[in-house]
Amino acid sequence: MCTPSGPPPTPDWLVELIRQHLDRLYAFCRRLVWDEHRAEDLAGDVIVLVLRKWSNYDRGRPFWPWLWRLAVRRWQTECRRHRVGEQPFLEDADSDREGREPDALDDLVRREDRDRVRAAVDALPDHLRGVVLLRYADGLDCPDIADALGVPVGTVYRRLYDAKQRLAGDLGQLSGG
Amino acid sequence: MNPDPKPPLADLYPLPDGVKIRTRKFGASPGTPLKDLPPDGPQADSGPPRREFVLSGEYKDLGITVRVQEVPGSGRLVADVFSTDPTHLNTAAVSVALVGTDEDRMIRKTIPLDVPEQAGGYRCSGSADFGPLPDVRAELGTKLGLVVFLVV
Repeated sequence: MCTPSGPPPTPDWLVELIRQHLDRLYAFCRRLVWDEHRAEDLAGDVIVLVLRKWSNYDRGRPFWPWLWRLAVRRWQTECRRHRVGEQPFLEDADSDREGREPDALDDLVRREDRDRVRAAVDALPDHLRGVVLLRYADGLDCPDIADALGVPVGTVYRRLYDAKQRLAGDLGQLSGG
Repeated sequence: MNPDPKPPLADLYPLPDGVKIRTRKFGASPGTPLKDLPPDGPQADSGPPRREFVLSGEYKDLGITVRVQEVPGSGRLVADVFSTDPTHLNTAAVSVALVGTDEDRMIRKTIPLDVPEQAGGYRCSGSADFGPLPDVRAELGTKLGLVVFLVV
């Protein structure tokens, strides 16, 4: 992008696309990091990435998936940089094991207290919490999540399965306590 | 994507009350060309005294001028942002990103335009400290450019 003569001008269509998606991007980042200031930082970083990488964007395809992929990957980068020692979101043992994706979580959310569910989700490790939020808070398909994370779709299924097992256990303990 | 049905956890992660998203207006201009940073270490010590590093961009369509300058003596990089639009005072912020050759790396700060100005045709300004030049070099490499956008 950046050459000695300077990068190409930012096209108006791109500025308009960013403008149209800013609220959604911020909300997406807010769910990922669950902190107002970190979400603003993340969204701002993503806009800079868009402004530098827009020549990679295929205008024949929807803008939003490209945008949230940048957001997820930026978030992963930040997780790696600032939380050394924790399991990074992207790096996980590959697995072809297909997990089931039951609808039990829907029922669980309806039954359980909202705050307790959210606390349990927030307590998940990043690599599990991320897929849960992408799937159940942002409504992304598992293949899209896999594409964004750069992992096999089986890994996404497995993480969802593991997350649900963990949530069920945690919320069961809460109920029992 | 997948707008319906509503994801089951969506209600658990709403935007909090009172959070203001400054996205009614947005503008962006192309980044500046990358500029070589002055040498560091023995190479710098052996050469003649150098001028302070300066990187600037004028974004006429946004009414914004950005100047990132190495502060004499301290060696810190400080960004000053000026706007010709009086309505930007206390209502707008400029996101200034220092970038290098790696597109994924940046040091970015959001700078509120909260200082009234009268000189030079400007009406408001803001500033931010990006830290010591060696730290910036360590993070971004030996070439530096600007990517700027405005949110109102």
